[in-house]
Amino acid sequence: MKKIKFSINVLALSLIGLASTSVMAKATFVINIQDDPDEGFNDPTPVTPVGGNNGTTLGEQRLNVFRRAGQIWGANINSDIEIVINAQFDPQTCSNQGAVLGSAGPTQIYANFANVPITNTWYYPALADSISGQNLGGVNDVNTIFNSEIDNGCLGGSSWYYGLDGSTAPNSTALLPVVLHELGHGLGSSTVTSGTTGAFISGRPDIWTNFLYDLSTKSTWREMSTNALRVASAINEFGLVWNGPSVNARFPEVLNTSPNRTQLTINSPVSIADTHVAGSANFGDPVPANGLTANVILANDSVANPNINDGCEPITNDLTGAIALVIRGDCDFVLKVLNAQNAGAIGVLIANNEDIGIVGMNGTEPGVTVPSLGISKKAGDDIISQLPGVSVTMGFTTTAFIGENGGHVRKFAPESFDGGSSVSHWSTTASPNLLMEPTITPTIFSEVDLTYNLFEDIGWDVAVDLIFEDGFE
Amino acid sequence: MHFKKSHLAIVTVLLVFSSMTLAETKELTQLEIKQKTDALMNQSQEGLELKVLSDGTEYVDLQGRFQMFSKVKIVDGKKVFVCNTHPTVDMTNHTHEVKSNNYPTLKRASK
Repeated sequence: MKKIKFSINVLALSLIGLASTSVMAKATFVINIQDDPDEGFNDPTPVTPVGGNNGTTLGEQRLNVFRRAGQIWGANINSDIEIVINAQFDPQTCSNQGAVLGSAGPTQIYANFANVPITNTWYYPALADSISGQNLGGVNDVNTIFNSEIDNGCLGGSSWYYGLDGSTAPNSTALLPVVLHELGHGLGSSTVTSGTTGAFISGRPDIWTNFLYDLSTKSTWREMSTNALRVASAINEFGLVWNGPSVNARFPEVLNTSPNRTQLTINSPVSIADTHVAGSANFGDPVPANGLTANVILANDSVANPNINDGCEPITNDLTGAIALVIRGDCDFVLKVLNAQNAGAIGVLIANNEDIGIVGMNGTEPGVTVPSLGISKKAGDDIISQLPGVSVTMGFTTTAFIGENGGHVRKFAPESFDGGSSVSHWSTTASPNLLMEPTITPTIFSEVDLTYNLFEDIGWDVAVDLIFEDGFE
Repeated sequence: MHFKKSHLAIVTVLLVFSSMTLAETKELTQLEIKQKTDALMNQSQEGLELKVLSDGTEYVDLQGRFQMFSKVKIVDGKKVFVCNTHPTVDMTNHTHEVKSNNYPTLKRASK
């Protein structure tokens, strides 16, 4: 076993040709090489230097890529405690139909250590060590394994690209972004809360649960009262987001803009005043550009079975000049909106009948001329709790970004839960592509983008005003 | 001579790769069996034990679980990358949305 130690500080950055200003980041990475002689990181196979990687053996080039990934992360986070990475290149699954590239994860989780920001909360070891200012006892912080078989041509003749310049050769897979991504997981970019059961380990939430936020319940995973709510949230494709101050502040600089999207604003009473993500309808008139404001009346069709407020039968109370509220279920959206319109409503809100989720509405009904929005169950319950006298505005966000919803960056939460991909990654809708999406796209190479801010949210001491002449972030 | 388990695994893998063109009905290698088993265990919280250090620090040894796997699958001649907790490549069966400026905000339904 061989240990390679390297530290990143201002002086080191200068030595490797990276000028910087106001950089105070310092993190020492120790790589515990687990490979046997003549394999993996010790592979003596002669190779030609490539793409700025000056290694002359396969093992050296692999190590140089690892060093580079450590440099990148080490330039973004601070720690007085060495970050120890168990690393090896070993044969993994590989065929001409696919391959495991690599894997990583934390070795332990810690809670209630010295200086902990939030008690009774799990933190990954490297972060816990950094916060506490001491090695809490674990020998290694992160376990990593990468697939040595890739270089044997098992992936349809493809191989690893060991260059550090982003000029990935055709029919190759760049190693650097894979290592960067996997180390990101090990340093804290994932949760150990189960997405299939919603359960915390040993009954304690991990730090991510403070920031995983569901737009339909307006609650964090930590705040959710049941495991079932977390399970539902883990597949709330459009409603699971990250709500952390650093990510919230930074994503407008990172994500590309999008056309404005519909939202509902509850203007009064103050007790429920808030803005809610809302789904638009592809029937009826669109929401006016300047918004539509009125008081809300809960529609009543006088048919109690199944629901007196589902709007599936002709409405019996006067909705003239009001925005009607009806409850989802029992019939098509278009019928509900048409019934409310016929009772005098100038707009219609349809509240979800499920705890989690907000839907956009499809339908065809030429007779519908009023705008309508789909809102969350929580928004509907809030309104109902304060009727009469609730004023709302059906309108639009002033700014919207690709990969964002409700003012927060979306997490990957497809309707079919994908263990490991779901929740622990950014949504694949993000544009531009982000390092910690579940898919490593060719446009990703050495950027850490919003993960820097996510790390700050979960408690890492991050570099301030990081500026590099060579342009990498 | 000292043999590691990894040596046996490597030999097994090499034997498998030399016959990769065989039909799907071939037996799983030791490596594939291990990885399928590992997939089941990887996200399990069962058996994880909370321990307390003398200063009150609490910790759980994750026993090598909660590993995140980066994988690539060849689909229609193109590489599709994915990261999840399954070490088996055949679990990478979902596709990812094409990015555009008109991506939908929310799921749509008719009722």
